This record gives sequence, structure tokens and C-alpha cells, in this order.
Amino acid sequence: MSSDDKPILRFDRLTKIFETDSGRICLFNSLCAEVVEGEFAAVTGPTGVGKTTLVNIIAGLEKPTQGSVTVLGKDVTKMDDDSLTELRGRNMGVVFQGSQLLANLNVFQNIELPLVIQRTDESERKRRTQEIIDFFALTQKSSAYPATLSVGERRKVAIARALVTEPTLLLMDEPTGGLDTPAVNILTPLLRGIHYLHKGTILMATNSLTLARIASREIPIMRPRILMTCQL
Amino acid sequence: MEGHLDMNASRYLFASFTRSEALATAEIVVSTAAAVILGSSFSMSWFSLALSTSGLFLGVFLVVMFMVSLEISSKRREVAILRALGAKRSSLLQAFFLRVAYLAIGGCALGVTIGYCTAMLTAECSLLSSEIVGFAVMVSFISSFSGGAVAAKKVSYLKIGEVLRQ
Repeated sequence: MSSDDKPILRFDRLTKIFETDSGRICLFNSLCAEVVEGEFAAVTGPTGVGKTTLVNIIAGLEKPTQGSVTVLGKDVTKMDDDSLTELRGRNMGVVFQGSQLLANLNVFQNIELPLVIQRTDESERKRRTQEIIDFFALTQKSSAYPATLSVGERRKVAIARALVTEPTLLLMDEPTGGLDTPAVNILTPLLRGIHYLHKGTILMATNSLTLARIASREIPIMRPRILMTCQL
Repeated sequence: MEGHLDMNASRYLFASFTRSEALATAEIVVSTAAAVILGSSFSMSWFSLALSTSGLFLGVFLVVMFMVSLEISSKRREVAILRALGAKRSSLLQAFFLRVAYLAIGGCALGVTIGYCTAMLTAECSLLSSEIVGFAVMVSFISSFSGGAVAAKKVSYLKIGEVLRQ
């Protein structure tokens, strides 16, 4: 990372506190990190350290307790809902844990959906959707519904959907989570290929050290602190 | 404008006519028909009509509110996915409002037809007029739409991150 690299994502003293019966859980412990343009960063750590929470905070779906998250120069913790929605739709692609596809839409319609939301011209929409379906080798499945797909195929559809808008920042939450070894073996080189083809910035949350190796940099998340009174 | 789904937004949320929607529509139909029949009756003054129909339409308001709340609860995941993909809160609210409006219009039309036919067949109901029908339609539409709108506001308070984790 050189000083000329443009930061796409920046965490500044980020902390998230959850209230539980056993006390308050402090996640991230004032995390400070930066991801620059074109970088493939992996947020690593065991289950429960807050990787999903971090992805949700970056996407503006949750608010941190303290600190800031800057995406493309904008502090997402201070943005109003409409601006956040626009930033998410225009500049971010998010792959959620568990794929989160709409059951009443087929593969083609699910992948096309972000372009429908952005009101992309229909011919352009169809072209881009078909292109990405071909890239992910989902052509045979384009009219299939999510219920008929395997977990690995659903994950591919979710990644394709996140990439169809050609986002500046791609967020992936446990892209191989819950997959069997053959599916992981198919998806891992695909994720590496996405980085070369996408040319955007990728942040991937994973607890798999093998998968983290395909990223150019690792951002380890500290174990959460459990305190009766959280010390910030 | 970005973030706004087209007018087909309902196709992403409402794939079919659900049981709760059918119940809400049935309540609108029955209350509208009852208001038309009551209004055309000899023994009814405007005051007693207003009093008796207010009970009916309070029922419509509550039933529609409850049914739309159920509908939203069952579609939390779909709403959260659409919001996470960049759909604006206002466009999803609009989709729910439109759905409620369709139910209200359909229910009112069917209720007026049933009420009108019943009134025509009943000897005591010869005061049927356009004012009575207009009154029944207006109050029925307002109560069902406002019940649906109050419930649809739930969409605004949905915690997307939490829903997507479940």
C-alpha cells in the first residue's frame, strides 16, 4: 500500500456495544483500519467477534456505538437513510450470510433485481445480467427458483447479484460459510477470479484461514471484551 | 430516480393473494354492504346511520390494520432484502399503500354491489340513493386505507441488519 493509494474504506476507533444478560459486549475495541482502492481485504476472526456486524455497519444497516466508518469519503455513521440507501445501491455490492435471495424470483430475476431498483434501461439490464450469469456458469439455471438450487449455487447467485451493478466496494460475509468441501473448492478460485475481473475493492469477512489467503491483506478482529461496565 | 422500484414493486413483495388479505377484503365487503343496506332502510336517520356505521368501520379499520401488520411481519425478510439492495423506504411504503388501496377499492366495489342488490330485493329498503352509496364508499375506503396505512408504517422501523441475520 503506497501513500498515493486512494482509501475506499476507513474505520476510525470503531466500537459496537451489545447489551446481554451477562453484561455488555464490546466488539472491535476501537478498530482502526483502511482499505485502499483495488485491494482485496479479508476480515478474519472466529465466530462471534463481530464480522457480520462489521459488514452491516459498513453497508449502513447497523450503527456503531462509537467511532466512524468512511466509505468513499462519506461517513456512513452520520448519513441519513435515503443517502445511505443510495450509496449502498450505487456503490456497494453486498453478499449476505445465507445468500438472502427472493424465493418468488428465479435466478435471472434475482440477479437483475439491483438493476431494476436502480432503474437501469431494460436492454442494458438484460445484457449485464446475462453476462454475469454466463461468467458464473449459471446459464442452465437462469430460470430455476432458489428452492431448487444447491447451497453453493445459491451463494453463486448472491455473489452474481452483488456484482451486477459493478460496485466500487464489494462486501462479502462468509461467502463459503456452510458449504461442503467440493462447493468451497469451486467457489474459492471463483472469488480469486472476481478480484481480477472486478477490479474494484473487496472486503470479505471469513473465519476460514484458507479462504483468507486469497486476499491481499488480512484485518484480524480482536476477541470481544465482556465487561460489566464497558470501558471505551 | 434511483432507489425507486418501478410500479411493479408489488411483484417482488406480493406473489399471491394471501389469507390475511382475503380476510381484510371480506371485512371491507361486509361492512360496506351493511352500510348501504342500513342507509337505504326506512327507519334510519342520518344520525343513527352515522352511529351504526361508525361501529362497522371501526371494525374495518382494526381488522385491516391487524391483517396488514401480519402481512408485513410475514414479508420482513423480503422487505429487508430489497432495502439492503438499495430500494428506498418510500418506494416500499408506496408498494404497501398501493396494495391496501387495491384491497379497499375492490372491497368497496364488491360491498356496494352486494349491498345494492340486497337493498333492491328488500321491501323496507327503498331509500337507496347515490348519497347513501357515496357515504358508504367514502367511509369504507377511508377506514380501510387508514388502517392499512397505520400498519404499513411498520416498514419504516424495520431493522434490516437484524432481520437479515435471522
